[in-house]
Amino acid sequence: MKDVRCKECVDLLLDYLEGALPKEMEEALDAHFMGCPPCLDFLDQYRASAKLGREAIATEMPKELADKLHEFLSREIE
Amino acid sequence: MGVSLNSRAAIIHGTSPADPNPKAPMNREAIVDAETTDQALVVRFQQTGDRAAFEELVRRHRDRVYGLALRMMKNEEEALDIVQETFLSAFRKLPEFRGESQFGSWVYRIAANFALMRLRHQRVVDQVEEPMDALGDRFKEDGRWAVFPTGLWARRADQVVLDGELREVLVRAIDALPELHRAVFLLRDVEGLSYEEIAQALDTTVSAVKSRLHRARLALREELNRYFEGKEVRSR
Repeated sequence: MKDVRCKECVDLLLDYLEGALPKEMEEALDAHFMGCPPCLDFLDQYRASAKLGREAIATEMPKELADKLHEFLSREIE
Repeated sequence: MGVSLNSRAAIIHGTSPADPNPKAPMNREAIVDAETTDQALVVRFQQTGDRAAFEELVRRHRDRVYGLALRMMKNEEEALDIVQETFLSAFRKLPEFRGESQFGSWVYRIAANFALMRLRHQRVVDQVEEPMDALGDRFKEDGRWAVFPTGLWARRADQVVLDGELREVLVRAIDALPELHRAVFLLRDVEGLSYEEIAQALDTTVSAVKSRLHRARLALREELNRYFEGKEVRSR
């Protein structure tokens, strides 16, 4: 089995989480995460960061601005 | 508006009683069911010029286009300008839209492009972005951690509840990302576009998109870690 280091795991996290790594590399990372709690912590934090970032910026357009948008479109697309 | 209480249908008004569009429906009110898909609305607009179908598409997507524009411009008024330009452009281009992507993905790409164009005009976007190195010297030469990414929050990262304070920390962290990193994060992690769609929208490669996304996530993780470690220290 290929031996991977912590830095390599972090560098490959994006593809690892999306299942986009070649099988051999994915298995090597699986094995590394099993035996390296700091990397497993990092993986959880990385995943949570994207999710929390998405939730943090969810917003509704204020009604006043939504009204302006619709007035603008009514005017412009005549 | 004649919407019965038990009806899921939404009645969408036409834009003007004096609408000169000969393709507009005779009846100025068209019924658009809440379950009508975006694709069906697009086709209806393309085939009949039904403004109500377009207005429903605007209503469905305006919050997300606004959210994207607001985080790119960091300013409500400029965000409104971007949203207006985006939907006006979508209205004009919709007859040629062939549905290779979702309508939502298509308008988010238009919005990101307008935002980046405006930021470039304001010279906010550097021609060459400084590479982000969110991890600094966390690793030793042999590739092992020099400083462990610990902190109690890691053990419950999936259960973290977003309160007002944390929301502010995250919004500040997202606002602090370089413009192109921020655009990639918004288009991928918030709006869910494919890497190919983002690369096309930002006129770059898939590997550059992935690299920026990875660094944006690392930067957010770094800010979250700082926030939680600070809280843990204060609570000792």
